Order: sequence, then structure tokens, then C-alpha cells
Amino acid sequence: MADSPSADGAEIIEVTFNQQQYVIIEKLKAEGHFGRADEEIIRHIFLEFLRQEGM
Amino acid sequence: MLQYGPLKTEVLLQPVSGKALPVLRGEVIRIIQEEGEQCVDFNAFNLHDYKEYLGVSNTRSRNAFRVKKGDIIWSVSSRDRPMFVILEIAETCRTDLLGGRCRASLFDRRGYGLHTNCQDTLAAAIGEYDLTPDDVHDSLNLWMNTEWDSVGRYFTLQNTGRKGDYVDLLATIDTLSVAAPCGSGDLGWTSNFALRPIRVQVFEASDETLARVKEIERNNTGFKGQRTPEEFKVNKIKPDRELRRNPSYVPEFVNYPITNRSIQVPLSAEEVAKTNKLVAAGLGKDAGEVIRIGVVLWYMRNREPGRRSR
Repeated sequence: MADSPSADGAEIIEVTFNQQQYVIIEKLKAEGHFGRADEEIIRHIFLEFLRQEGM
Repeated sequence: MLQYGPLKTEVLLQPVSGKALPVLRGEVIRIIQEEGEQCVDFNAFNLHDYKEYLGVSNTRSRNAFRVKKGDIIWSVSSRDRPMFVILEIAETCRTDLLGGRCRASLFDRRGYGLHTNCQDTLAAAIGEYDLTPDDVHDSLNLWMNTEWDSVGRYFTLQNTGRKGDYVDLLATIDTLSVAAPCGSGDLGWTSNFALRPIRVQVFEASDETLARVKEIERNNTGFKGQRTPEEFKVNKIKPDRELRRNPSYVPEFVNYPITNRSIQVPLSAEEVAKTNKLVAAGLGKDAGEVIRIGVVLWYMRNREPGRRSR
């Protein structure tokens, strides 16, 4: 789900994790090098995923 | 090849018979083609708790439809422990974890009357330990040359076993191991339209086999879900056959109820465009789902210990 896009096309995307999936965010948070806030870690990892997908 | 201990037991199983043999932790059971071309059905139980037995579906899901040298043979999912590792396997030994064991009715309905079959052979063998026909379980099939087609139809091809070929299974727990020449082979390619003997040997543990067991234990035990009966909410074996509801029972489901938390993730216009491409490609229904799937997939690929690439 996305809220209204900004003028430059950027968006805030709502991402939902259940408590079992959220363990992943906690583990990545503990690693320390993907950021501290949930949204920061998710964005960072998703961009890594895109990069690995060749995008 | 590991150095095994001395030969402890040797039996020649004439067609169509079976034998339940204790094979203890660190010992090796060798199943040999006495003449060749004979399919073998294999069952195994925890020697100290028969409710833990060889889990064919668990082994299949952890390995493949076939197992090969080095693969672990697992117990049923309620226990989920390594029971054996395949130390050696002849290249002619096609293994199969799909086929159900043959049983008498299969042949009777084809007009052959009472015919030899693995259900009855295995049941007769384990009776020596007071186990019942209901305790026979799906077999680890050895020298069973099966195939399936694109719509899942399953069929048997010519048996490729040669005289003297063998399979060595290293027990990682104390087991009661049961090998039997398959009783269906005289009416199909399972054993090339004949019934032949097999030879079974058990070798004692050695320092090398025990070291291998410890390595397997180190890498494959200690995980959640590898439960003992003491950890079961219901852990008494029912003494009667009738099922009756226990009105005081309250189930405890894992991580129940499932709850969700939502996180607002900022993406640039370029990142949004890439995300929408993945939505269009069908990775998820919307951008939020694509991001969730992407994060979980990334984690699985990059952080899960020992995960095979799929």
C-alpha cells in the first residue's frame, strides 16, 4: 500500500511483517550495518535485493 | 572411505524374507546385491522408542526425491533427527522416496491371489520385536529405478543393480533396521521379473564412524522442533484403539495468533518504479508485498545458515 506520491515521485510504502517475519528485521538490526530503524533496514535490504536481481 | 569396526552380524535374506537387526550409533549396515537386480525396501526405528522411525517424507523434503552418497536419512517430523548417513552407495543403486511399499491387495486385484509383498514381509520381520503391521512405515527404496513424467505419472524401469553392489548406512542413533527384498519384483521391472536374495552385514562402530556421527550431530541437532516425547503436550501412547475426545484438552498452536506490524518505508521515485516493475511481473500484488517478499528472499539467500540454493 502506498500513500499519495510526492511531486518528485517518491512514495512512502506500507510494508507489513508478521511476528515470525519480523525476526529477520531484528536479526538485521543486531548486525548493525543496515541501519537502526525498521524502515531504514527494510529499505536497505530491499535495495540490496533489487541489486542482486539486476535492477 | 571410513574405516569401520569388525563385522558383527551377517544374514542372507532369501526371497522373500526380511530381518530386523539392531544397528547401533556408529555402526554401519551394508545391504548387498547377492545376485543383482533386486529392489530392497528399508525400514528403521529408534531402538529405544519405536514411535521415532525413518521419515521418508522428511528425508525427501530435506534432500530430493532420491537420496545419494552423503545424504542424511531423517526420522519422522515429530522428532526430526538424523538416523543414518549414506556413506557409500553403488552407482547402480537408484534410490526412491516416492513409491509406496507393495501390499498384497495390489496383486490380488490383478488376479494373482496372495502374493509376496513388502508390507507383509516387513511386518513379519518386525514382529520379532512385538511391532505390529501398523508399525511398518513407508520405505526407503534401494535399487528402485523409478521415473515420473511431466504430469506426475509414476512408473518403474529396469532394475540396474549388479551382483556385489552395496549401500552402506551409518547409524547416527541406535536403530532397529529392517531390510527386505521387495516382493513385487517377479511381476514387473522392479526386480526384472524375478525374486532374488540380498545379503545384510552390520559392522561395529569405529573411532572414524563415531567421529562422523559426532560431526553430524554437531551440525544437525539442537534445533527447535527436534523434540523428545518429554516435550510433547500429549506424550502417552494410547493403549486402546478407539478415539475419544478429551474435553479438557486445550491445544497450543505455535506463535498463535499470528500478528502483523506495519512499517512505513520511504522509496525514491526510481525505487518506486523498480518496485512497480516487480509488481507487474507478478512477484507480489502491490509494492508493500513486493518489498516484504524481497526482504525475506534476500535474507534466505544471504543469511540462512547452510541453505542450499534453489
